[in-house]
Amino acid sequence: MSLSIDEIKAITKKITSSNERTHYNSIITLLNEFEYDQDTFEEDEHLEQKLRFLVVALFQIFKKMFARNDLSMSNKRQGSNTNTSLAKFNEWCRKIYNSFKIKLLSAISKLTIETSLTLDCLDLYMQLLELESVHFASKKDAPFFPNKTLKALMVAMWQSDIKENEIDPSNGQSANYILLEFLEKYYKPFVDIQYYFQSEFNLLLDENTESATVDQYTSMKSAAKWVTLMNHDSHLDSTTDELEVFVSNPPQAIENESKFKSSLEKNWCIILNGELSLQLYKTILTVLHKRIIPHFHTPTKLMDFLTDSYNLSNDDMNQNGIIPILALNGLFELMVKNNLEYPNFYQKLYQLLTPQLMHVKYRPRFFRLMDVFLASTHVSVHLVASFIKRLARLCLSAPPSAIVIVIPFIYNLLKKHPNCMIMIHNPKYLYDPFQTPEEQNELKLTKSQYNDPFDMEEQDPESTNAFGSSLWEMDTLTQHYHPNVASLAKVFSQPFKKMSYNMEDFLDWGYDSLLAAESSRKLKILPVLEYETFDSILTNDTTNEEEQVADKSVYLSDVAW
Amino acid sequence: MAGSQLKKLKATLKEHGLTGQANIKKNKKNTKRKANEYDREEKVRIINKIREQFNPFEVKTARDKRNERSKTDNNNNASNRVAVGKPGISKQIGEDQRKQSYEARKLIKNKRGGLVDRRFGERDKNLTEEEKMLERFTRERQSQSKKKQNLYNLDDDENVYGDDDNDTNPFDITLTHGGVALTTDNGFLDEDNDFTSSNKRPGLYDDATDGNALGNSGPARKKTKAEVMKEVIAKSKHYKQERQKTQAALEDKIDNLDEDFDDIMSALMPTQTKPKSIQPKSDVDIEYDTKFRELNSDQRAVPSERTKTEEELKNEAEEKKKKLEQQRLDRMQGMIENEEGEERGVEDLDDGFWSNDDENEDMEDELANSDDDVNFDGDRNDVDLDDNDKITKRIQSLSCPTTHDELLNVLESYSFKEHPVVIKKIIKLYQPKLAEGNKEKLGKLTGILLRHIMFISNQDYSSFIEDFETVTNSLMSILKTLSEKYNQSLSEEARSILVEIQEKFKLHHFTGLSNSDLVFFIITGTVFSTSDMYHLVATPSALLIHEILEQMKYNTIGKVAYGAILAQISLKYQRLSKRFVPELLYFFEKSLSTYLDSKTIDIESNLIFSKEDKHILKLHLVSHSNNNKDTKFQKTLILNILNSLETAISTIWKDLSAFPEICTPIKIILQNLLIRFPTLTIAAELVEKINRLMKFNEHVPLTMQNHKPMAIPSHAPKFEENFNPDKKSYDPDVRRNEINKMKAQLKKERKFTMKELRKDTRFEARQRIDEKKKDAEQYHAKMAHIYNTISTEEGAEKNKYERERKLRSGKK
Repeated sequence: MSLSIDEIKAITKKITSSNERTHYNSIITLLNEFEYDQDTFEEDEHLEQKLRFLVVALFQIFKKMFARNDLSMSNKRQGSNTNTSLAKFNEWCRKIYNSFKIKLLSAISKLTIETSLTLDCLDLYMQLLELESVHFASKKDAPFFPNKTLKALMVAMWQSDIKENEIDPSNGQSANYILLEFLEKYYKPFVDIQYYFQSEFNLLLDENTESATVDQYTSMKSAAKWVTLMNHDSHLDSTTDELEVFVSNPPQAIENESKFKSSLEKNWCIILNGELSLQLYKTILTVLHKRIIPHFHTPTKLMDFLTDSYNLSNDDMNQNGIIPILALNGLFELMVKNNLEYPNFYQKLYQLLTPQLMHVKYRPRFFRLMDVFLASTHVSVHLVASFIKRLARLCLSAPPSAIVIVIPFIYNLLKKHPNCMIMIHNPKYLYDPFQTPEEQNELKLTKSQYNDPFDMEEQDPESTNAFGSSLWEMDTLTQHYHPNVASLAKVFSQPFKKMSYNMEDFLDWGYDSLLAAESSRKLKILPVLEYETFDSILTNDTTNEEEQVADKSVYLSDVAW
Repeated sequence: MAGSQLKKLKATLKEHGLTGQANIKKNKKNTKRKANEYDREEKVRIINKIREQFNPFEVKTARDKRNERSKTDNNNNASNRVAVGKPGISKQIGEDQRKQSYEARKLIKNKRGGLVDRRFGERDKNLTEEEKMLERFTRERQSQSKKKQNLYNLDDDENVYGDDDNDTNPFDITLTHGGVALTTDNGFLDEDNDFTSSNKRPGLYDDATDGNALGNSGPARKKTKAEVMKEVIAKSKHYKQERQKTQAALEDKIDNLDEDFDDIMSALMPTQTKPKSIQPKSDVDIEYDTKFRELNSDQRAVPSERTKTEEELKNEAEEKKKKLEQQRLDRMQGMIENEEGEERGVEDLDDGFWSNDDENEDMEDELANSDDDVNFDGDRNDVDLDDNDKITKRIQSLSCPTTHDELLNVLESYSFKEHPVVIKKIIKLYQPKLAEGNKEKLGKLTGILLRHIMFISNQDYSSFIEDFETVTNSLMSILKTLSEKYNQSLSEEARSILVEIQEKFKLHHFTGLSNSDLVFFIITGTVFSTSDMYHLVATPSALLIHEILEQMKYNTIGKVAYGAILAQISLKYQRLSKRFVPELLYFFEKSLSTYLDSKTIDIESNLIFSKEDKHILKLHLVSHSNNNKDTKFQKTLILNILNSLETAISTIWKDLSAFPEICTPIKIILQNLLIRFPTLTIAAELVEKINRLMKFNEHVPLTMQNHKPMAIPSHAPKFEENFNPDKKSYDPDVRRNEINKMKAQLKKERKFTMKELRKDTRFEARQRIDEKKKDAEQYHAKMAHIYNTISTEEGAEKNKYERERKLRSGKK
């Protein structure tokens, strides 16, 4: 590190100001200057500043060189014999230009710490790409896109790895800052970059499969990066016209939407076949029906992926039990729009009703779909009864937010299938004060002989015998500790006069919203105090138990300080 | 009948013999004159009839309901209609009448004389009542002084000697009639005149009668009884007056004598008593005076309330408890009553809020005066009385802490044990009766105290648990006492703490929670009534407890222990209302299965339980837990959880209709636990208990929709047994019948009157417009006339001028 900023400035000025090409040799010294060691980089603030200056200076030089046609290829083609010295000179210039690009890319791919220098490198690289598209075109004003340059950048970005901040833990997507910058600044707004990115990525993946040495692009990290780039709404589409082009004169090919779609589709398929982290898997499934399927040529290609996900056993909720619930949404999309047929669909759906379902945050999403699936009046009564009974059973250990979904849901089902009313009202067991003693005895007998036939373990909703059971769970919920839930549960003992509940009103409750509703309430009436007094709030562990019970009242008798 | 109206008329007239050949000879001879008279009436009648017939719009008809059959007999429509009135004529009559009355009114308008109130200031709105009175009084006085002036007026000697009652006529104009003076109001400004004159009238009459009787030598007629009576009365009055006069004279004399008495006495007694000199009071006297005054101002002995016997006190307390319990039960059922004073809220501000406030004040005074609130563990206070004094002296200079930090600063200089005493002293110093604003300060202190208890429970107190417990308990009892008076601020503080805990939990999950939060939930449970159906503090607090129970991942012993305590608190909240908490079931399932599954937590696989193992969790061990490996703690924990499970089953769940459904998963887990830890006898007992309770639980299908069948509305036709068209009402109640009749009549009358009034006003408006039109016409005519005259004059003058000019020019 010999040159100071002033010196760099001087050299740059020499090169750029005069029309002579005498000082070009000092570009190499500048290029050599662009060397750093990551460890020293972190320590020395000054270094970063200097490097940034250097990079910008070099960029200025090359820009000038572009302007002077020093780098253009056209000279070469005119005939090497006429102007060999100039051709040689151009070749030399291109060589140092390439080495500059390589330096930039290495800065992007190698640095493992977050620094704005790499972002600068990215910006400059993209500007060079724009310059190239103008100057490296076969003729003047011919459409051209330097896809090789873009590919090199992609490779560099995929190599880049900032160690611990690489993956966003909440959704499994990549949080690489270079990638995010690229996404926001270049990928999202520009059609041509999207198009060439997809096709080049496709090539990269192909190379990857052919070589089969390193599955660099199907690894978890790669998938994370890919999903980050894909998980947004501004894709190339015939309907969206607010997207712009990055280079001044791109080839016509970028308007070929079907090619874009097919390469995107291919890329997705390869990525989905590769390794996926659980978080990423969830993220993909949640956005699948909104952000992925619409961009597919043939969404049926996702069929296998979805059915596999849906068929995943949901025994172990903590690992991947949530997956089938999430896959349901995409599957539904395919069933509706692409005539996908799924055998034993209801049976599988029934199996999804697990105690854990009541505690996950994707609950409203699931119930929305359930509402659609069970909307038909042509499903069998036994099936509906099984669903009702199982949901009711799950409520016994569910949070209030889940219970307020289930109660109106069951109400709507009962309203739609009045045969199931027997589950909350069985007239056979009705006590009538005007019965004769014989009849009363008979009633007593039937009561004593009754045994709940419902089988919670049965997997097939057609044979759970839920129809012979009764919804004691709902009766129990009228005793729920939360007053609103309790009064909601009382609908089952009131006349069924309401047509049906609007499910949307009940889906999105949670502890937060319940508590917020409580805390926003004003203190109109003073809260009532407990009149009972306690001598101590916790037990005294040291004294003898009998003694203390005798003379002192304790609030929590099983806890000591 | 064909033909035009005119032809028809002619035909009819002819038919009735009114036209055509009038004098048929044979008739002429037979009945000459007689028939003529009779004929004329008859003729008029017939003509009228014909007129009616030919002017069908003059008559209002109605369908003849009586002779309905006639309608079917002949289809002639006119024949079965009955004339009921002549609207045109009746309208004309009404119009005429109105016109008459209107003219009459117009005639007397602005012409009728009335009483003009000329009393001073009566029409002046600027004067107040008092000013008017004052002015009238001065006028009265002036007029009287005028009378006095008359005293010296030589002209009227009559009034000088006349008695004072009769001085009404200063102007000396007396009208007489038959020699008797007539005093009339002759427009003088004295308002009293009205009264005097009117007062006079009966007297005048009296005089007249007397005069008649005595003076007038008219023919002596026999007096009527009334006259006799009047005479008697007059006489007795006269005598009475006489007697009074003599009495007054006597009294005057006596008074005079009394006045002279002193003089006489002084004349009689030669020596006079010495005037008192002012002497300094002796000490004894002063002492006496002060004593006297003191005794005077001393409170008299008042019979105190009878000391109640122990039994009575007990009964009273029991009764009060019963009442409170009843109220609590009502609240548990969700019936909120607002009449009770303690539940008075902002809504009731206007009705007697201030009086209520006064009551509060009184109560606080009691709190201060009775001192038992502050000294309820007085024995201990007495022991370290010196300390107390010292503390008092030091606190005196302090201000009431307004934040928790300030309180900590105050408490810093005292030992931990003294804290409750210090706080009590502060409360005592800032009793609301001592200074304004103390009430708010103490309200704030209540919230701070709550935070302080939470704060100290977060400290590491494992080395002095004994002291810590006594201190917390006494702080708790202070808080409890304060809570009764400062409910509002305490509730607000509690609610804000709730929000804080929720935020903490949302951000940092389990790591955000601490023991103080547990303590807060416990305090909420002890201070507020948690059995209410809805409670502004208890409900959100329960919600938060259950949120934590549900959202926690039970993968460390510390979390399970925390959950165990929360479960205990939750059970305590529901100890009276016995409501079902699904999250509790979830917690039991999750926490117990952590003991089954050694993957998540490292649990000793062969824990041996014996009788000595206690189930009491220690709070300080929960948070400072490095106890994942501590087998003893693990044992205590599971025993504690099973213990609360037992409470849940035996108090709450056993009565629920879904008891078997609730217990099935629990039973399976318990059985698995037994397999893993065979020495865990309590689990076996629980399984036993569940089985037993399941047998008792009547598990039969529900009949929730057993509603009363809804009645179909029946509309049977109403049929009257003995229908009578004349009868208007079939009401058997005579009174009501009468009332209804009267009501109907009233309604009719009112309708009629309204109609008339409307007609009147319409008529009047019409009339007014007419008048205006007439006026305008007159005006225009007048103006036109003026213009005409002017123009004619002008024209004449012009002609004259022209002529003159011509003439002159002609001359030239």
